[in-house]
Amino acid sequence: MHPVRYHRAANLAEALALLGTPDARAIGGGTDLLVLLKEDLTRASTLVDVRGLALSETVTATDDGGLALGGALRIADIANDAAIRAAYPALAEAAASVGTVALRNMGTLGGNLAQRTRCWYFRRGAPTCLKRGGSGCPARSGANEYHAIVESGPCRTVHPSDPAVALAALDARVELTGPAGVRTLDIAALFADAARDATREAAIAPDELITRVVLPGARAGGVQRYEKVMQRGAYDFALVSCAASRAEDGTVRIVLGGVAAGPWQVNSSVEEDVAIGALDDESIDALAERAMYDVEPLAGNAYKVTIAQALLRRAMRALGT
Amino acid sequence: MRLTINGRPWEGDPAGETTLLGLLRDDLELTGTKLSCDRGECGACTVQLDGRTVHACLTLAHGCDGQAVRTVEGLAGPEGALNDLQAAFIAHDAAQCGFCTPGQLMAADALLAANPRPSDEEIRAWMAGNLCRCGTYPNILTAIRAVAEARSRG
Repeated sequence: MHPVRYHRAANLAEALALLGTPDARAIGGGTDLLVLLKEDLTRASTLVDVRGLALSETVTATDDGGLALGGALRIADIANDAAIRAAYPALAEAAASVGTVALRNMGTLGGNLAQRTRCWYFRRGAPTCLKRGGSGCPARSGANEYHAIVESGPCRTVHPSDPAVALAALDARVELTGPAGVRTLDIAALFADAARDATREAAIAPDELITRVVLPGARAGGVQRYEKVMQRGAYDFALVSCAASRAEDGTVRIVLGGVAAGPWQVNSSVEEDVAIGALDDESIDALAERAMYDVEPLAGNAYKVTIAQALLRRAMRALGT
Repeated sequence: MRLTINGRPWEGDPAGETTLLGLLRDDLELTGTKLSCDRGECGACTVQLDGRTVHACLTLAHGCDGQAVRTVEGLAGPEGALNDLQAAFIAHDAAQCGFCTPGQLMAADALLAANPRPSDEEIRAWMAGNLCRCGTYPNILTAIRAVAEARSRG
């Protein structure tokens, strides 16, 4: 690893000032960033440790009955937090499915959302890869079994985060703090340019920090689930995952992971039909077909459509019958 | 920066890019903790930081300022007497080449501290991040189960 300066920011203002200096990067658990630095997939001359800032590692109740999660909360602490498990079990399950015990002890929520793609063309430095300075996507005609089945830009990356999929199904909003103040994005907006942006998947400016993720009270409780299909029995990224929630007001969200450049919410007309309920097997099969009608799998990943439809059917059975 | 390493205080100022693994092995000559993949994929460098397992290869030394580090060298008692977990790994033949063993021990030690009577399924899930290319997994499972049972009998 190249030499870097390490700073532990004393407060948010200092962290933001340091992040505004050239080649500065925020570091939390380091589980992705240090690999990227060791592999020369990114550069940094200054690492700003953003753990330990006020409220960055806490779970706080909000006025609308929801929860605000600090950006430096450890993934393990999300999986084990009693308030999160009670109100947002889909998120707790998604967090518990991340990596291994040690990785969950290290990794932070903000870092999990800001991690880079696992695409092997990116990680191996394929020169034609958009995200490595090229102009295309070698996965389209190459080895693409782990890539996206949904077209969302030139690159066929999938985002590896499990929590992001659950957060999308819970209408979570991400608070980014930068020199100009705070802005909030929903998960869809955070990853809207993941397949187009050469420098990153999440729309976080170099001088911004994920300070909070806010879960709305309207989606606390109800029926929630997170299911993840992996190639191995443990310690793996999702081939396909599915987060689903039916809120107390009856509204339904169903989101797939592993199929697109970011969490991929099924068409709202499908969610509305599930919300109406009283679904039988035949209508569940039809809805699972309809949800995937416009996907465009590549030569090696049509199997993901089969898995996604199986996960959708299970989610709809749990939410809509 | 200050650390407590296996109960002893340490103070120093390593370079910013120094990992906890580099500090332990190269500066402090605590070479029980192994360098293998260097990418957080294999678990050979597993140590405990304030009681929780981490990969020392992906942990910056400065990021641990003020914390307590426990390595495999911290398991044995005074005079180097092996603890019950180490003895069980030997008794149940839970190592072949032994390179992954320090990480396996630190992960297993943390498991038994968090969950004194884990089921086999819980042991497998917890230990999933510690790879063994010799394939001694069944014997590692047996050794951990044996220690849990022996400790519960007191």
